[in-house]
Amino acid sequence: MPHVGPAGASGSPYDQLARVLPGRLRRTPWGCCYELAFCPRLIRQRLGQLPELFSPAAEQAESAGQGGPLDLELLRQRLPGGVLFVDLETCGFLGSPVFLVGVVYLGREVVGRQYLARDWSEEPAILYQFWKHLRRRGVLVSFNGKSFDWPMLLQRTIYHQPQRHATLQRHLQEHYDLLYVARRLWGRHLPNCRLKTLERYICGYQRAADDIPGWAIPDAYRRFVTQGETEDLERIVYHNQMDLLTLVELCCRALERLS
Amino acid sequence: MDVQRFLDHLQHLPGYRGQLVHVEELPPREAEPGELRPPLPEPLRRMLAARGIRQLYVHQQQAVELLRRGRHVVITTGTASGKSLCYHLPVLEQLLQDGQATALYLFPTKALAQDQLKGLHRLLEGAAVGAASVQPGVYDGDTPRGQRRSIRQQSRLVLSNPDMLHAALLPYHPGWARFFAGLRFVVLDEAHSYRGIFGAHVAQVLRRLRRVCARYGSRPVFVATSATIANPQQLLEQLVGEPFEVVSRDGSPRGRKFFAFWNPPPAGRGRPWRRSAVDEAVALMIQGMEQGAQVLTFARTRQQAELVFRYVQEYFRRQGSPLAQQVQAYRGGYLPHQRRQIEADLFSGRLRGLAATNALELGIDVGGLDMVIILGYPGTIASCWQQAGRAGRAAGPPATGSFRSGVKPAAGAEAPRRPGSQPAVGPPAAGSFRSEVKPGVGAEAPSRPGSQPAAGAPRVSGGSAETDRYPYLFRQEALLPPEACTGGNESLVVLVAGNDPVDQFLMRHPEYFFGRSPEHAVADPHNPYILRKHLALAAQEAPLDEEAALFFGSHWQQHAAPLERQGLLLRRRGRFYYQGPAGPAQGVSLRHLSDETFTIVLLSPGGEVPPSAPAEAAAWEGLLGQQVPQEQVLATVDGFSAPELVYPEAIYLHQGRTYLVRHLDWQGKLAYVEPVQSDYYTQAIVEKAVLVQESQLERLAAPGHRAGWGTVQVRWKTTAFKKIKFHTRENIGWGSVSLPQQQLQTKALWLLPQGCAGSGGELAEALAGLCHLATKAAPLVTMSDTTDLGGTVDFQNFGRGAVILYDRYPGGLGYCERALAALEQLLRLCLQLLQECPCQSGCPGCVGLPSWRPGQASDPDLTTSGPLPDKEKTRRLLKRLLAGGWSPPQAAAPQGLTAQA
Repeated sequence: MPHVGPAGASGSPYDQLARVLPGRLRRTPWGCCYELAFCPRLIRQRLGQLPELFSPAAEQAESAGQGGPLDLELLRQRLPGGVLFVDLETCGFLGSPVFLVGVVYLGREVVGRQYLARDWSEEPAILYQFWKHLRRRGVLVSFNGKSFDWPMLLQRTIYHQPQRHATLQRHLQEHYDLLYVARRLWGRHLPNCRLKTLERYICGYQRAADDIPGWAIPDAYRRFVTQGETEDLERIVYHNQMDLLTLVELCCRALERLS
Repeated sequence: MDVQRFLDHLQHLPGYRGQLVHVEELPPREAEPGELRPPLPEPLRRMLAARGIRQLYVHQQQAVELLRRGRHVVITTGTASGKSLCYHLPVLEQLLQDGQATALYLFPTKALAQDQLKGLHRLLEGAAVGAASVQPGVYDGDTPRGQRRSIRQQSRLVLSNPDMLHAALLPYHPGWARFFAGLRFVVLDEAHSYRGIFGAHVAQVLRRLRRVCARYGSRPVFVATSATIANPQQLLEQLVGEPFEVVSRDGSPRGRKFFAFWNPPPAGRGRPWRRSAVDEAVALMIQGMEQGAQVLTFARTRQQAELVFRYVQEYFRRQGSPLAQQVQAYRGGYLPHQRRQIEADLFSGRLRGLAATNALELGIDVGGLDMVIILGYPGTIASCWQQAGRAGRAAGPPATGSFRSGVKPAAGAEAPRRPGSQPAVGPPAAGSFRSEVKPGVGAEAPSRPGSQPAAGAPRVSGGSAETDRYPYLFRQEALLPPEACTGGNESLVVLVAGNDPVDQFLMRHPEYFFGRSPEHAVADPHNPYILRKHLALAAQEAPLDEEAALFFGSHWQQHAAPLERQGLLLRRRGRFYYQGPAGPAQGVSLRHLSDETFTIVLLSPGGEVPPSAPAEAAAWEGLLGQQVPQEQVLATVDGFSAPELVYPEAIYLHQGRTYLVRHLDWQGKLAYVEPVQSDYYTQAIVEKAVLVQESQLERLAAPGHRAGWGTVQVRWKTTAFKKIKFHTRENIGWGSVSLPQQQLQTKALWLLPQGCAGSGGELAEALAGLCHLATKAAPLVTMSDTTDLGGTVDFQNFGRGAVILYDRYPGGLGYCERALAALEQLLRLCLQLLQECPCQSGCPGCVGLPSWRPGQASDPDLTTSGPLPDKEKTRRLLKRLLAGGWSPPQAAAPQGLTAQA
């Protein structure tokens, strides 16, 4: 893997990573990080049969609510090019580092990228990549991101770039948290509104049995950083991709329901 | 109160035995105003006018002018001199001028923050500026979740404490970005309390604060207030790490105050010690309260405070006096709401007497008291003056300048007085409680209507023990009519001497106390043990790079390296990243040796002790705070004291009531107690050993005396306890205790005399005496608190007899190192204490009492076993030690040296 070995890093864990999760080194003004692309086959498998929801021609249906969680008008207008789907993997709650930023955006096709911090020093770069994507698109779609992903992104960025604390917020034009949409649309018919439940009942998709549970993620990442263990890291990467693709599909289903 | 008359009264009591050895009169002082240039902005002038303040005192003027110029300032004027205005004014001036500016007020206790918030609100009420633009808020462990967010996002003046800054603000600084970026002022109120271990921690917390602020582009000005200490400037420079200016010229007026030294009479009949200081304090407190004074007694230990309260209340109960309901105890470990209630009651005057520990020493506003009794020298001159400052606050014309005097009445009015309770002037003349004292009758007298004896309240046994107890201060004939001494703005402070050498020394040399400047306070910012803990936390707040040297010194990398080896930090491209467990600050307590608190849980009588949870589960439940329903919690105790206070079968004293410890859950940090009516209390017996691990510095003297300093491990364990009968202090039984051993890695000083005549036994007697003297004298030399040092006689470590003194903190605090440097001074002071003591063959006033044990000196409640001290042998030993000249300290030869801070 010629494009992998980072300059100055001590090699072995990074090499091992490059073998199991081929990707490329991404250099940013805030340092470098590791970039992974979603497997096109996986995207086709999950989103292949979706209608052309994301075509800019989607007609302007009347919105179901004014300003509430179901007011998806702006989202509809900004699709496909102006919207960024995001999902984070972190070492815990507020105050803990973010180590994986997964984004999906729509061009001529669905594009998925993951930015991985291979150790604590690469967190600024993955955050930089997020802000770069957001600046370009402006509208954010997440699942439970209003209480988790967004504050996390803000706080971790302020952590590394304290003097930007007052200006970050302005890169965000609108944020759709599909948790609230899902609760309104499907909540009463489902046992709960967790992403996996929605994935199963709304998207009709059953995830592989060895999907890593959320609570095991911080430790698994720590083991990767301290001991170079990549096995669980692969599972985390897969988990994050699945979460994002489900997010995209849920967004489609919600727009369908509301049009 | 009319102090002269009261003292005269005391001296005419038939049982008076010359206890009053000295009275110092502190004259009243006139106000000295100061004019601020340029004057305050109009809204602030109106704000002051609304509080009746037309002119500032000179110290307020000086402080404001320095702060306006961006200097860090420490203000050291007296209690009630209007110190808080010194910081309120420049802070408010800045917040009004700049809508983004913020300020952080830090108080050593939560109670002080609440107290000051009330004061601020009242101050702002009168201002056209209104609280709206400032939105002051207290952010501490008690702040409801709902308010935290708005304080974080909007408040421009946050009142908090160093613990909260350390564990809740700094680690989550991105959530406080607005606040830190705008931070212009940091206020350190009562900064003298940041000394010793707490000070060393706070010094690191403040360095972390400065570092975080620098990252947000702000550079706050620090303003501190301090009680009188010898080195306010040095202390603050140690704490903050930047230069400070001192404002000390007190421009506030003061009423006349008297400071009396009271030495309990000899116990008599071949008993070489003096009568109990507790008994004397109880008698004085009763006399004072009966004369209409509001009296505060400062005890040295929690148990003493409980005993004084219990005895005073018992006395008034027996008299059928309503004062029995107007006396209380106050100490650390009481739950916050109890403490707030007691403070408010003292302030409002409802409470006429309070027996407190130094938990009340800090500037909580309890109003001016008529009389303060200091039960035993509190170890430092500064602390003594601080406690004395509780007597007779601002007096004279309520002229101006004193923010406090302007505010206080409102506070008093706020606290609702209970129907039937007394106005602040004194106890009611009602009833016949002053009539003939008939032992036993009072006990049967119905308690006041409306008062409810709580469950488990001690019953007075009606025996003769209590009447025997105060035989000489309670004869009827000579007593003044009640409340004869009320009125006037004079106040009285009484220092009641204990048997300790230093207490007795002060009784012989009052001029030493009044002529000497208060002690130095030490906050060691280089303590490696503490520095390392905070370096890890600093790394969690932002990766450590070269800039860290600006805050943590140029050697910070030396301390970061071990953290890297532990796996807490990861080094990448010259920076250290934190990678330890989440929330590391939670595990670092700023205050206690052991970073743990035990909770004391109340069982109903005969109730079941819940099964002990497995360690892990208990830890989790402890984290989640779910294990113990709050209403069952009686009190708390720090992990260091727990094995000495709440071992199984201990009698735990709380509000004068007795509780039996049924079970101590060591893992779960829980002690289960149940109310019992006990006629005894318990004292732990602790076995202690010191193991010398590394010798680092050495001094020699002819003909072969050695003194050294280095690393030791102190191990101790509660092995048994004594049952002591109330009042008579008879030892009525024993019990054994099985608890895990505790250990402390610290620094120690050892002294190995050479060529002492006589057998090992004889040397042991001399060493025991020296140890007792040295643990008491060392604080005077090392500028530490008596509780900061421990001492023991040892024959194990060096193959010969030695006295070992050690710092009672992990890693040491530099006290013993200083004692080694000043060894001759220390020895001379020991000899002086010994020679000036008039006793024949030893007493607690010098080498210790034969029935006492050496090494217990710094822990009045504890005893250890050891050889019996001998005065003459100790004297000869000291002479010999002082005869040969001591070489300067140098590196100890054989062992490898570790880096010194």
